[in-house]
Amino acid sequence: MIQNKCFSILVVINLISIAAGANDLVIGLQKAPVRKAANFLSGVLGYLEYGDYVEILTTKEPWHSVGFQGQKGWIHQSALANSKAVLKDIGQGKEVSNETYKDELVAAGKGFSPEYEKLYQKENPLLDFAALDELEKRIIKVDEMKKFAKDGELKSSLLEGEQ
Amino acid sequence: MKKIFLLVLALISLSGCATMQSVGEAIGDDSLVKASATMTPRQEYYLGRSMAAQIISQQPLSKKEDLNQYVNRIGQYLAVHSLRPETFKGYQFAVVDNSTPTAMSAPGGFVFVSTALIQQAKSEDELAAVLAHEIAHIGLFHAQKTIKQGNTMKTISKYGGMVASLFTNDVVDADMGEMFGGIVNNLLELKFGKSQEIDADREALKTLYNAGYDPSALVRFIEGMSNKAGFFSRHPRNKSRIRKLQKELEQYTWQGIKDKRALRFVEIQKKI
Repeated sequence: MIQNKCFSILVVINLISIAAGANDLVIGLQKAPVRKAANFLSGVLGYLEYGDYVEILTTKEPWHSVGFQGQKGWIHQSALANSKAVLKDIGQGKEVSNETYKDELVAAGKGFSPEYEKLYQKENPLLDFAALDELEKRIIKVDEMKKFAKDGELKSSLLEGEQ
Repeated sequence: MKKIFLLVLALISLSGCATMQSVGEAIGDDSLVKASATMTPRQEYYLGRSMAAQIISQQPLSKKEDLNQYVNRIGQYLAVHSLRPETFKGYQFAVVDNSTPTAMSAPGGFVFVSTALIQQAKSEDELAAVLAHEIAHIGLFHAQKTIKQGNTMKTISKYGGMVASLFTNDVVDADMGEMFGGIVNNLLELKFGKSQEIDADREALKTLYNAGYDPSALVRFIEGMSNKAGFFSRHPRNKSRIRKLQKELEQYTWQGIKDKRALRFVEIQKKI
């Protein structure tokens, strides 16, 4: 009897955890590719944006399948983030309290946004953020990466994965 | 704004050496989730950008496109094989002109390696090993964890009790000019913790192996650089680190460096 009760409690706890977990995940990248297969070299169905909620259908660590425009796509776990913090970050959550703000990490994070960067740049005109913008334009395409690996005789399971 | 400036400087000190577990607690991931819980990916990115801007103001970006492209290709290839393949706006790898062999990273995915380090590395695999180590610091959220531990702030406090002003709206009245130089020098000497370096080494070995590079290249690089200034001014080098790496290496099998890779590395070195 006790065992049955314990089992029921555990089941309920797990169900609550799973439900809470599903609601807790949002996209943590500025632009997250939803891929056709669980592989970085796979084709892209489309993109989700920072703060978009995702509903995970199945998991094949470290990949998660999600519903996307009526199709099933795949997102790597590194593209996901904690919803509470991200929604605050994009102005859809409650403001961080003064008490919380005392936390060094939160304080450090709160100080870094596009708005603060402009102020920071104004006070430190020698800092070259434009050079960083240029760096970010250096995109390596999948085919280029494959060629680089092949030319260097680099063998990776990723390069032999499902496309 | 001084608050931000100090934080950036404080963090640059950690960048001498620094990907993601960002799925929420829901998926039951490890401690990386905790580290990312209070700083969002976007905040992490902007924090890293400010640090990166400081780094390249002190060490100019190399204008040699071939060199940058080569390092970027190695870095991006490694990143997809790492613990945290994706960051807010992706990884950025670049070469800085510096006669001292050094490698730095900043939260969010910024990784810089100096021309001198490329010259002193013996192979593409050794260069990849350094990049994998820096990628690991980012993936393991080492800079954020260090802020959280308050180590950086404590260092700043040595120079005048300015910590409180960082988190209030108080104006900092003290003349910070003289103090400032001392803070910068002190911060540049700061290191990640020994355990963080070991963790980054361990993660780098996995990344190298998964990507098809020789994991033992990390040990060779550390041994080869052991008597030189620069990289190790901000990275611990000791026998115990190498011993730990050699023990970790026992789980990996490796066939040897390929000729084609050796050739292209020599060609790139000639361009420095």
